[in-house]
Amino acid sequence: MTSQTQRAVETSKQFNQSKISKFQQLALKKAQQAGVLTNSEKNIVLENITNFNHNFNQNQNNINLNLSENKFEIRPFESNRSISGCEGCTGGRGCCSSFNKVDIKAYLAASAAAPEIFLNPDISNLQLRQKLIQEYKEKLEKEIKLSEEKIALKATDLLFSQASSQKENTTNKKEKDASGSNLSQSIQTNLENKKQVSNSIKQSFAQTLEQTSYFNSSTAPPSKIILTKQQIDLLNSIKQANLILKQQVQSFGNGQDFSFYISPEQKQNLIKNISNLNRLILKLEKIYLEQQKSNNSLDPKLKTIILTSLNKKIHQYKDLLANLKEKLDNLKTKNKSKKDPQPNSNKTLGPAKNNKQNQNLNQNNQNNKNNQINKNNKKDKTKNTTDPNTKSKVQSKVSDQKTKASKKDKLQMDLKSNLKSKKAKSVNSSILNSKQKNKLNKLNTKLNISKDYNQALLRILDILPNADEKKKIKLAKKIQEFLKTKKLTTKQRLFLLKILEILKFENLDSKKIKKLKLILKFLKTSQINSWA
Amino acid sequence: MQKINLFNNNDKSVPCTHCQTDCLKDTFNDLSINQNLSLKNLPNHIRFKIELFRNKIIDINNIVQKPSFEFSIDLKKQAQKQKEEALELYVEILEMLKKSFGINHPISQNFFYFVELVISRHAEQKTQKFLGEE
Repeated sequence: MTSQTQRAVETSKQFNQSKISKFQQLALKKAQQAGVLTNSEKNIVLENITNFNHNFNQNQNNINLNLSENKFEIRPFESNRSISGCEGCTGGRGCCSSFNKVDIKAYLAASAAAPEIFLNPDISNLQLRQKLIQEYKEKLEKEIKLSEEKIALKATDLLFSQASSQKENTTNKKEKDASGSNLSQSIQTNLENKKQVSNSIKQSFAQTLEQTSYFNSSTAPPSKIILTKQQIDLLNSIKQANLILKQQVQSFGNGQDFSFYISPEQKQNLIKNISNLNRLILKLEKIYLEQQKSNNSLDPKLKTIILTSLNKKIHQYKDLLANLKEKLDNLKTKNKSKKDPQPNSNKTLGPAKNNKQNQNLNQNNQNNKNNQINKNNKKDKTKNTTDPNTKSKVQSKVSDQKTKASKKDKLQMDLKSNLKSKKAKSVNSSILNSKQKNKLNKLNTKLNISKDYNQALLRILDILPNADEKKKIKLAKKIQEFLKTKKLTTKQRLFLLKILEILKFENLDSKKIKKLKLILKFLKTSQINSWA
Repeated sequence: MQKINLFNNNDKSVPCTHCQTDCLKDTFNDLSINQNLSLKNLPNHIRFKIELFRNKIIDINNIVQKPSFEFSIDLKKQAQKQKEEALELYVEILEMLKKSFGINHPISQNFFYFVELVISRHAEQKTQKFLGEE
């Protein structure tokens, strides 16, 4: 019997298990392994599952679930209509998707709000509960609307406060600009006095620092804290840089101007401005790096704008600085050439002056020689004058005694006259030689000029096809030097002036370069024909 | 109207494993059987888990039903991964229901039946076989 009952139990178990899906069995096994269920609990569950249909089918009238497998339907809490479609599957077999359609939150909220109704078992009318839920929903919606209105009001308040703060900022900026303009005036009027400028800048910085301290102080309203100290510092430095830029542009004009005629005061100012600009650039670069690294409260767009503008400014100042430095270098070289004229006339700088000096030296030498010759002549004359006197005396004394000696004296006289003529001839020949030397020197200088000129022209021909601004400027300077210092024909002068005009153009076209080449070639050939 | 006691442990409130409140008690305590026995009345965190479980079964079925499933190791790996996740979800839900209501509670029983229903409707025979493999 026991074996029969055991068999019956096993068969019933197998039958039950056949009713339960293998996945559920596996899942229950896993739950058992995880310690969620005990063995007995697992068996109970399995029994429950096998008896599930039966149990619920018994209470089918009371429960909204129709648990027969073929006619599965769920009635959502909010309505009496049944849902037969499933969102998960397309087969229209209504299943678990209906879970989504119940407003559990509203139900819970309503039950919490009116527990005396919801927890009262006598009130079982579904429609009444639904009405209550709807009322609660409406309440909730009203509350939501009210809260939204409150938020909108707060937002408008915030906007107003922001607008007012922006206005204050603009007024502050205007004030700062005004102070900046005063500063610029003071800089323009007192360009020479650097101390005054620095003092005024310091004052402005002090003002801004005061402002920042006010902004950061606890007594100030919190809405006014908009610009940080660093940002104000940055704005001030940019303004300062702009002022210096304007000032330098006003005082020196464009950097591409080739004129060197600057007074010593202007030169001093130039040096000062270069040092100032150098400092400013360094400062701006420092600020730029700080701004780039810092994570301040600036709007990212605003930050990028500031950084780009700063970068542009820095480059602008650097260009200006380079131009000014070039000017200064040119001035220095010019002064050097003026102060220390080199003895060798063969070099390119100022050969004409050296030639003149050489000419003067030659003239001096000639004069000295002439003087010496004149002196010698005078001595000879004196000798000549003294000799006949003495002879006359001797003749007067010895005439009576020796008359025959006159013949000898005559011979001596003839000899002396011959000597005189010979000396004069030698002097004349020396004068002629000096003249020839001068001519040769002149020719040599001309040849030197022609060599320099040729070299310069060749340089121009080499450089022009790939000419930069700097190279062009250098060339222009060279040509100017030629025009000033060297003796050129009018044709050559005109051609060089034409070259200068062409060089002043910002962009050299291929046509212009061709023209230049032709001119230079012509100059070269003409110069060689005329001078060589 | 029949009134039932939803809690096994002599009306002791069991805090929810997710929200650490008596949400389930608040929801289902003293409610009539008409509204209670359906899973639709469950709080969101349990409901979402159940929905996830359902979706997992559907995903597994989609993978297994692919013609290249038997030849593709990747697909098998994917399906196995999904199956393991589905089993984990099942254990989690069961633990929550047991802690909150007990295993014999109609809601828990409803869940078991729900699982059967989902498998019978969303898993083909091939997938049912795959799901039953250990």
